[in-house]
Amino acid sequence: MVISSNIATVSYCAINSGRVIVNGKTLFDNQSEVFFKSSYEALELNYPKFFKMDELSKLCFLTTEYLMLNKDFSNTIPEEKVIVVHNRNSSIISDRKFSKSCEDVPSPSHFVYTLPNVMIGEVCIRNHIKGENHCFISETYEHEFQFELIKKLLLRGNKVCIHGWVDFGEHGYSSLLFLTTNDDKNNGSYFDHNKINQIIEEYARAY
Amino acid sequence: MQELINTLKVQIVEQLNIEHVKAEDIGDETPLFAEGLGLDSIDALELIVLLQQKYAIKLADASEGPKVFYSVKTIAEYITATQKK
Repeated sequence: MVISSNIATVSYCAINSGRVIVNGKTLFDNQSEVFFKSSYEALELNYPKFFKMDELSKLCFLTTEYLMLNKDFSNTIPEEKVIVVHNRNSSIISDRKFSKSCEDVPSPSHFVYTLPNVMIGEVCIRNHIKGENHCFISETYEHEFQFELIKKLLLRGNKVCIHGWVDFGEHGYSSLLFLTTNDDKNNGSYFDHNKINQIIEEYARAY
Repeated sequence: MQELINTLKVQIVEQLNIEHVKAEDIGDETPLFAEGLGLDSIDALELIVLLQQKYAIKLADASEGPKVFYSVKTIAEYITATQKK
């Protein structure tokens, strides 16, 4: 979607039911219970911290990793990279795990993930993002509100924005992250408004 | 002592969720933090929880932490010494 002259949504990644889809192409498909581990291994990363993350952070991390494949923003100033995420179930899985651990000895490693914005922190550390970051909790993906916010952030001079929906509930998970940039070198490759709405309709599910 | 060290290695891998590390690959005297296994402050808290849950030992003096948790061997020595008291 072209928001203004140089601002456009140039890429997306969705993860649903063991399938990783980037710009319409399935890059990884594994319906088993070890999906997170196997999709991480498929990326051939050396990032041991991944194994310590809770499920929500793993989902956000993996979606971002696939979204950023073959993208290089290492020359972009960290303070001009921003991230905005919506989700529905907050950090409920980790909240319950921590609550359960309190019956015995409270678990520090569960406690640190009892806020949904921690997933954003993990992505920021990995991608050297030091600009604004926002995490919103809502029943459904309020994409119109989010795109309006993205527009303001990018018109303010920010260059790169990762944004979308990352949700992990008791009955399933889904993620959809977009990459929207303020860059006149995007060569006109972008997703139009109708396509964006179609993608959101298809992938941004609440559990 | 060696049996306790081997048991501790398995428990540490499980408790700290370090799936990328095999218990048998951890050296008895390898430093657990910084240049060794690279554990962090949250891991240090999890090690305290491990001692409490598996060995009913509460670290009496927090300033002892760096010495006790230096390696798997130092943890085993601490457990053995505490249980003898």
